[in-house]
Amino acid sequence: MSVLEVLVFGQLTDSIGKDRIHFSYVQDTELFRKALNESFPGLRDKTFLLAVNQELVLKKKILKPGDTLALLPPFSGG
Amino acid sequence: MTHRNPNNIFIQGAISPSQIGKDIAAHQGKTRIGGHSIFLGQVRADEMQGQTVRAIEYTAYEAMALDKMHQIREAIFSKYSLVCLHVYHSLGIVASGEICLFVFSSSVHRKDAIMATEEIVNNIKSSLPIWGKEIFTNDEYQWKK
Repeated sequence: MSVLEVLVFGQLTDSIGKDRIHFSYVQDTELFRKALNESFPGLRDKTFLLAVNQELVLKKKILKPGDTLALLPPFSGG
Repeated sequence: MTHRNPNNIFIQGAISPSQIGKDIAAHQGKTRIGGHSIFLGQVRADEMQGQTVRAIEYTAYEAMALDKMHQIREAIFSKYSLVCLHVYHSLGIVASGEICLFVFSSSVHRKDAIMATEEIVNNIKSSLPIWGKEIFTNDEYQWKK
């Protein structure tokens, strides 16, 4: 089965309850965000960026099966 | 900090003052250097709603952070005339009063080191995927903003 690996960081680990999940493959990042919000309604009011294979994605991006996505809430290092 | 991958900035726990001292001493042989600029980030015991921060627990998307740090480093070396640059950031628990970030720039003349350090600290805070969880004395927590 085609899946996407999803890494979860910061406060979003509280919303999702895990730091890593597997998600059924969807074709692009917009469909992914939509499906993610349906699975985890607690994410709807959260602000976060997406990275695909460690690259920040600011516009819609086509996904491939096996891609690693990351949910990145605002950074607070230092 | 021995036997580390030179590209790895992450240290488990606090950065010890003795290690910082050793790192400064290790530059005595580089006699082309005329100035060092050092920034040390320290965990502050902020008070909120009657609770005091006793520690910050740091987590990171390490692979992405190291890749991004490499880009920051390349950009800084092309903009400023630096002899060397060292960056360390803590992961895991760092108690209030302890050091969580160490940026150490060295140059022939001071201005390059001073400006580079300022810019690197800003870039680390704005673009490295690192998160801090502020842990209060009663063990409740909030995510650092």
